[in-house]
Amino acid sequence: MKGKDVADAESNQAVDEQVVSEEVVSEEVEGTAAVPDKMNLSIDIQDIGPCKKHVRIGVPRTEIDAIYGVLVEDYSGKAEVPGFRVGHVPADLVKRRFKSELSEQVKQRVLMASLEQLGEDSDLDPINEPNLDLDSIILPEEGDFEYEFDVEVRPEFALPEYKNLEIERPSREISDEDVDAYVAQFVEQYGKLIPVESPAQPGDFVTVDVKTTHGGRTLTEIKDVSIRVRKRLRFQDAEIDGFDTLMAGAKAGDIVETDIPVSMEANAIEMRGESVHIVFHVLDVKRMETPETNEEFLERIGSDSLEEFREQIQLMMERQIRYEQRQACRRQVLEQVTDSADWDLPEDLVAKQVENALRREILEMRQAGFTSREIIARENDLRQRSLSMTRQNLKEHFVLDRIAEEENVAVTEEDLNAEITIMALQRGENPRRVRARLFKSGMIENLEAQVRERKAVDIILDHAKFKDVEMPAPVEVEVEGLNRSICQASAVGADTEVDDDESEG
Amino acid sequence: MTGLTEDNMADETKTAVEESKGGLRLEPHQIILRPLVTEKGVHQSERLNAYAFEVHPQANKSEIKNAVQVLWNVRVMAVRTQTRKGKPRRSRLLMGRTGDWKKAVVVLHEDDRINFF
Repeated sequence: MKGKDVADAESNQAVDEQVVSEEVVSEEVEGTAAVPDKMNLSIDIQDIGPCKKHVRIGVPRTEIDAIYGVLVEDYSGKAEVPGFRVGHVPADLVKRRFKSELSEQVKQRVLMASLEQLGEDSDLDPINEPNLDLDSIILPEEGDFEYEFDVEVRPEFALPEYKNLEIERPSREISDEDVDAYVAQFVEQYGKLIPVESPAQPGDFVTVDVKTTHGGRTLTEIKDVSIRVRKRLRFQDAEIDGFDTLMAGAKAGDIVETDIPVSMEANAIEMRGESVHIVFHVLDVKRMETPETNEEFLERIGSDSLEEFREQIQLMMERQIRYEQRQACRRQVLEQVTDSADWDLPEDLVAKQVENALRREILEMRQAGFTSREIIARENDLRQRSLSMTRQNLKEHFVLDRIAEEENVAVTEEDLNAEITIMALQRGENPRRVRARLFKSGMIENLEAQVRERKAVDIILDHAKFKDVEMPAPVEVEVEGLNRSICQASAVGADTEVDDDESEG
Repeated sequence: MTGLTEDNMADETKTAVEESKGGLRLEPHQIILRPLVTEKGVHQSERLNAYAFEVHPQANKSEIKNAVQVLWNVRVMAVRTQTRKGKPRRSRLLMGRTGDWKKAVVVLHEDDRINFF
């Protein structure tokens, strides 16, 4: 018998050698054979956490053999083996020759067919791909085939009442005073700053050197910055209320100082809530001289008459109000529909989204020049913030998605095209290019979801009851902003310090 | 005479001479080079229980019979051999040819089978 074994091995080797030059036709064959309609599967679905299911699928041997038989038949009809005409290759030879290809395809077919059938037969509503590792799944040569995986499903919840919501719509009649205030602000863009000897008044511009200290340690120094004297001066991480009274009467060469608390949301965690001493060294005082709204000015801005100019301003303000209204209504709708949403979210999805948001933010911080130590210090805070934000966003998404489903909202090709055209216009790109990029990166699905959600909000708003409430004045002239931090040398500033910590990261 | 033809006598004499001189002695796996798995071969194996092999060019029928019997543990009823001439081949301007090779068709006892697959 030993001799027989040796000879078998030899003959096998010989067959292999003979067919070295053989052309494998697996690609042509792929997907052509018919798969049996319905398989006799054993499906077991178990809850293993919020929105998470463990699925176990058993495929009987007979089903696998049926698929195998179909594939072998298909291969026999098309395989090109030396020594045989096409279509005359014995099935046994095909099975041996294409063993690996066949088993791979059978595995694929069995998995695809069983997953498809699972989708049809069960009411699973997965939100992502099951965590199936195709390489690690092995189709046994004999006996039944069983595989299992975890999948996240859409949360189950009772749809909140979304019709007849009471929405407070901020509204405001544009008065002549509003237009006057806006015009005054608009004209200032064309004004000139004239140095004056007299003490600073509210509305003047002071050029100052700013220095902040905490416990005798200098935190930051900002040189030669022009600040308008207004009621409030807002830094990135602090605010001085009563800046106008503080600065009132200041002249070039004066030193004005005060103590201010650092905001609780400051980037520098260790400084939050601390009191910082801030010193303004006034270098000069300038006053704005605005041009008169005469014909010359109107001509310069391309307007025919003062009436027309005011009309344009009014229209623009109305547009702004409508935008504000829409935003406020949308915010309220989202708040109200997610208010009762205390159901669990798919945690893996939340974690993935949070991780993405976090990575994006850390990357931005790195680009902005933050050191690794600072980033680590902020990471937990960021994580918390993005966690709650992601949860809220996902809840909004799920609720709106359900409402869209309920209302049979469909996103048509025209909707997407319109959206893409707007995006292209905003970026000054060719719509076709934007479209191609969206398709390539898979973002088109996000866009579709976005349009769908927007339509759902529109439906809610169509059925909502509106209550008009007074809107605050559209022009806020009380706050002067300074895009600087008082606690640390900001990367935005021109005078960024070289940080030794950088090398440690 | 014992019924042997002149050829047979000559063969026996030659083998005896070679063996006595310690001439070419081949092992079974050196005699059978490879089975010929072709459409015709499969047809013959199914209908006539005859299997084709490429064999050592210097192996004779009795050696082939013996080798197949040893390797597959079957009973060989007949062996037919052919010396296949090599084909002419051209490489640029040079003419050459592939080597000659020997083919053997082995008929087995009707109860015995060989599975090449």
